[in-house]
Amino acid sequence: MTEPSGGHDGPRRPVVVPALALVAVTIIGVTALLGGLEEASEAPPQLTSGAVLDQGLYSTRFVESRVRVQPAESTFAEEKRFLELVFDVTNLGDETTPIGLPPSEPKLAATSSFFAGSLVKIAPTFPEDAGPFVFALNKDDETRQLHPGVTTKVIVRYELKDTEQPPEKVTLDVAAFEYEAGFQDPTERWSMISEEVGGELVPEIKARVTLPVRDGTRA
Amino acid sequence: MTATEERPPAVPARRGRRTGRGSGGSRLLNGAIGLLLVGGAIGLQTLYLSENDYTAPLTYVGDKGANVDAGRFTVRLNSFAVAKAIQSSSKTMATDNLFLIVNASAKSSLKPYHLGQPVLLTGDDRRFAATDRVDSGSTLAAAWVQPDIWVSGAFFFEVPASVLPGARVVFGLPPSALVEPYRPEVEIDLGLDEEGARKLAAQPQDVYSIVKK
Repeated sequence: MTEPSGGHDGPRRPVVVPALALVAVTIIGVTALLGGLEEASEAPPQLTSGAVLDQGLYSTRFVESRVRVQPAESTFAEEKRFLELVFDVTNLGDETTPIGLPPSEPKLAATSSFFAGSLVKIAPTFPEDAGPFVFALNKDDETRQLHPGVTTKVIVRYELKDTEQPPEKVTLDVAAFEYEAGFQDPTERWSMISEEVGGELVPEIKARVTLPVRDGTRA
Repeated sequence: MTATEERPPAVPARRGRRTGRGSGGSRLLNGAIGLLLVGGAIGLQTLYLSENDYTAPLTYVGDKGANVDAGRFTVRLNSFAVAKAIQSSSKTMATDNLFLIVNASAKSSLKPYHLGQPVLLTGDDRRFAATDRVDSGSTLAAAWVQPDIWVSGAFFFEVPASVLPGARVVFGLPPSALVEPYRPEVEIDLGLDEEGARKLAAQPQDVYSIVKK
């Protein structure tokens, strides 16, 4: 079969190959012009109260930010005021995880695999003795566990001084998690999605969440 | 006879030193053995353990009510119950899900140990840690488990009713800073099927008290 048709195929082949090459070169060129296959570094999406973010290991609803006054526990104690950030967190993983703590510095964030660790940056910053205090509420009782498949109300709070005015809004840089082998240890587990920049692991910010502070006491 | 006479001139030319070994029967046999080896190698790949499996503890499996010996310690799951609330000396804790109270006994073999907080392994292999709402001082984890002396106590879980069918309780030693491969653990099946789980969850105790009298 190939012998007789060779006469027709012969001149056609040199046309197909350069055409394919041209198409390939064009595709590569266009891709390169658009910034290559590297993911475009866009600003993270802006979210606000009520938004839901898929963090891989957790599905998180950013409920609100509010000022909570805790009445005095005894006649000698004074009432306390807290700025509270409220989240509804559903653990999508296979096992119970601790809630954890927000990182004291953003550059320490990437080591955490717990929910609160993904709140990479909380702005404005609060003095060290103001918190954060992190816990979950379960029927008015405190817990520090997120059970798999269960939605838990998580509260991150800072204590406000006597005359301190709460900020008008709080901005959170939120990271996410992925299940994969560790950097040096081949065991698979959940870890924060991060990149190495200049020898340090920097978490990738999945969303920037702005929560206006609801202050019932100020009105 | 004729075959042996004709072959020698033809064979050396084509196959050199392998003269006489290439009869039809043994070639088929070699092929079959080759296929068997390849099949076996592919089959063995399915037994390949992931890194997570390699580092998993050694699990001793048993049934409710039986003494399960894990070498270092022996655990027996005596009974379990569900409740809507747990009352401690300071407060009453309620839940939208269920509290599962597991009553167990333990002894060790050679030296004293503490048990760690157990894990509830569900039918679909999710792991619920024992609840932190009940102080661990009120659980069996607080007791020393000594050689040949049985101690009994309770452990507390807070779980949705839907995870009860097929659930198992896994007892082990508390986490240690030292990395030790193949730590022993005991896995005991609660023996709950769909029907049993539904019955259990339908009639929880209102309040389970852990107040010591």
